[in-house]
Amino acid sequence: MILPTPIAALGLLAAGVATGLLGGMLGTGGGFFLIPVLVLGFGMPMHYAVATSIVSVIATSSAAASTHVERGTANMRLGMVLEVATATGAIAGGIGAGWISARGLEGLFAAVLVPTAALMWRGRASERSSVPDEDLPDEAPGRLGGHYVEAGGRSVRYRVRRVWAGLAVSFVAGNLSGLLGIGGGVFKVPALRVACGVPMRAAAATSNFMIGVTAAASAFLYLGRGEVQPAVAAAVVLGTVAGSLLGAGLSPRIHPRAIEKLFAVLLWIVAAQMAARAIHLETW
Amino acid sequence: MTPEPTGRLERAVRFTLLGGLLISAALLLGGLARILVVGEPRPDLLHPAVGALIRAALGGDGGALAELGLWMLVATPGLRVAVLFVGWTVAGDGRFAIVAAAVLALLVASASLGLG
Repeated sequence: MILPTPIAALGLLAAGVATGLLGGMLGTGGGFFLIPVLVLGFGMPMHYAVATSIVSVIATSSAAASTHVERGTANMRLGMVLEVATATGAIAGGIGAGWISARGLEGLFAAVLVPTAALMWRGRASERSSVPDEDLPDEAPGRLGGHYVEAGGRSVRYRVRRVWAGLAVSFVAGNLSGLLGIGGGVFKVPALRVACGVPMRAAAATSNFMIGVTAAASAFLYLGRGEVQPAVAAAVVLGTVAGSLLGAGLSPRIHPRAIEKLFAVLLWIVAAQMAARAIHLETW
Repeated sequence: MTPEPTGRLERAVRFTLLGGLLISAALLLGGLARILVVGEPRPDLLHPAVGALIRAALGGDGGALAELGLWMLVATPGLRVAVLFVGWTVAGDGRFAIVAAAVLALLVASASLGLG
């Protein structure tokens, strides 16, 4: 068992707060931020960092999703449908981890992330797409569509389009989650926003809602292998819980475009990191 | 069908998520505090039985307490899926109840794979 000193435990707690804050605001698990911090900042072995990350992702999702569900921004029906794909992908990822080249997958991540980040940065979905964020007063949202009220009192109704695309991306996101210990929100949020036409706030909330199940599907495998270090995970998770609740509370005060821009920058950073690893440049 | 903003089911889901999170956070906090104060980790065990973990935690083992907290945390999303399964079944929303049952089955399969 890895035993942190009290100072290290405080550092791990702070890393958890930052992870939860990012996850709560952006609808991601924050694993892409936490893993480099644990490996670079705390010298933790990669597989322990991945295991810690996957557990903290569950905390991020549970804390933030509880707020989003209460607010009505998380679309539970859509989330549950996509969870079939994401949990299947996570289990397949966990089983297939030994067969597939991680570097090859990281290169693929980078290739997929770059155009997705560009779309998010340009705001194509919210500004030029045929699927607007505004209310659709004359159109029923359908069985999978949703409705929520913005902080300013504006009502937003939306239909979900191209569910097959959401299912496909959710499977891939779950697969990557099982392999790398991330929540997969970096893939789910753009897919929900751009492919399925879900408004940004609902996309982030629904992604957060789903991430817990995705991460749990792989966490059982990591826990079973004894790779989750209780003391380290405890410090990180406690910080993550505090950060997630704070992040979810801040989320309605931030304009969706600001979230999209911030998200795009994060995607580029992750893409650069993945590309560097894929071509054998050690970035952490 | 328009999902109602904050109905009974949403409150049940929120309660489940927050409840699971708070219980696991309390166990993790107690475990971490105990580990930092005592500073004596127990030997690593693979697949410890829940009963053995509870006995060790009651005996003041911080590692066991933290591990119980981790198990509670990992089980929380599954509990949330179970709540939605029951809620949609009671509401007669059979299609989504079946979807929730499928997700629950996948989580049980994963736990079985992980714990052998």
